[in-house]
Amino acid sequence: MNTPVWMTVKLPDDEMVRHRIGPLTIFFKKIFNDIWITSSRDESLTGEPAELPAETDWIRTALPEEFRDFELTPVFPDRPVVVNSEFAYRVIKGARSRVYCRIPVFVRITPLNMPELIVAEIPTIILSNTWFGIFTEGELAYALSSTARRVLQKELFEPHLVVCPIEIQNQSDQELRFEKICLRVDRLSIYIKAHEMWADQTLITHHGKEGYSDIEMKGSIPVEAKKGGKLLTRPRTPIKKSFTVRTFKLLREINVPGI
Amino acid sequence: METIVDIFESFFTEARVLQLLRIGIIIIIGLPILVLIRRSLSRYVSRHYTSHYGLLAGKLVFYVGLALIVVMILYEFGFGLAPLLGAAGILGIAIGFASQTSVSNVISGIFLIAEQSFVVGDILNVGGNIGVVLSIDILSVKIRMFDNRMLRVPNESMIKSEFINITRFPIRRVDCNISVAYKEDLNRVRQVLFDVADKLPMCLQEPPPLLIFDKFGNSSIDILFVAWAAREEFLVLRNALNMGIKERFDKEGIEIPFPHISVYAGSASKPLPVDLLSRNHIETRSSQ
Repeated sequence: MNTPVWMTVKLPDDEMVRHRIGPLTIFFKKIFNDIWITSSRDESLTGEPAELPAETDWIRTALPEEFRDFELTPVFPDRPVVVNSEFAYRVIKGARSRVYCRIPVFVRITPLNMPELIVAEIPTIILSNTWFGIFTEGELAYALSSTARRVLQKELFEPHLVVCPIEIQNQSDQELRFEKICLRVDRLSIYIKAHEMWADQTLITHHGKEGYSDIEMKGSIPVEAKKGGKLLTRPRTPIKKSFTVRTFKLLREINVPGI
Repeated sequence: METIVDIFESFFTEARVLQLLRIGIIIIIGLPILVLIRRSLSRYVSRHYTSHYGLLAGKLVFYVGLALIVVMILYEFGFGLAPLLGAAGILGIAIGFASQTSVSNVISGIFLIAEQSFVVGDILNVGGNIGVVLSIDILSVKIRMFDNRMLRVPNESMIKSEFINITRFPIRRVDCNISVAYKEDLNRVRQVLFDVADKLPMCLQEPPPLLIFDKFGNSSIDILFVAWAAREEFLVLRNALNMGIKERFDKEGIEIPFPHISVYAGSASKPLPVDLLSRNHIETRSSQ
């Protein structure tokens, strides 16, 4: 955790450079204005980068000019993320609850000081697809294997995971019982505070309409990271102050297999 | 020679030249403008709605515009609009009787478009022929089949017959029919199948995969294992799932049995008696 993983890599000519970010090792090669990139994943989260696999698929990109320095920045996944709650969760009407979930980032590779020239985006962990919605409509999302937690411990911070604080308030006249939350991560920024990555706080207000909720992105550093934290990545999609969208998978929704 | 010049002069009077000029202007300016309007409208509607609506709007504007140009040209030739409409009415009745099928196709086409059970770009299964809808035209639906042949289905047939729109909904189910030997532990089989599905990122976690016991078959226990994928990844998942299952079954020693028959003589409990004969014995018997 002590060596910075989000940094600038220097690419000498015709020489392979390896860099580890959590379970992901990225391999780089530069030949004139071409950059070759491939990656592998293993069980280890820190330490030396992995060895180049015997069989690997290089992605070769021709750039408009020759660059030597490339910046690695964390970005949120390119789709919404569905998070399981630790257990089936109840929020009594009028109650408020703060949970934390950890989301594996993608690594964005850009030439130094040219953030608009995206060479590649590589997921640190390959996330499974999931469907958030019903059989006839909904949205494709990533499924998160880890759960949303009420308490955050220090050891839960990893170099490739962003902690998202989520505030849930139930303003409906019924209790809210859910097992999954769909997080629209494209509107979240990433902040860093001494190797801990944080996202801005999301406030979800449930009004009881079939799982639809008002979502408010604070667009500012969360209280936990206020002291010493700084902005690392801006959101993929410009922040809308608030919007209404389906957010919870309620417990009463029975999944019909449809034989 | 003089006669030809006379004829030429009598035909190309000043009025006639002006008339031809007007017709020329109508064609030279009218047609390109019409094509331009069709293209712009089609592009605009496609961008804001769907390519299907873009195609239809473009066609509608083009044919209406073309009809107007023809009417204007006929008017220049001295045909009035009223007799033209009258003639069109009589002609319409005559054509209507003569071309009932075509008219039926046109009306069916309107219903198809209004019903919106498919749009351009959808994949349809029409009577076992599967392909991508290229266009919904006045008389027929054009489908590009996956072996790159074109299928033309009259609109009337589309209205009357059943078809399956394969890409209407955003997610699709992959069905794997699997047979395992009677000796296998079904709980272990179940565990292996779910593990295979879980390791494939394109397999949706929600709706979850499902194992359905099908039947006690003649040679095997038959099960149906289903998993879901985004419609774009249906084929990728189908291949990956079936190949993954075979690979894991081989690795875990789970048998996929061939059809086999047990033969009994007399009663089900007693095996068929077989005498093992030595070579000498066979030779002795054959010489007798």
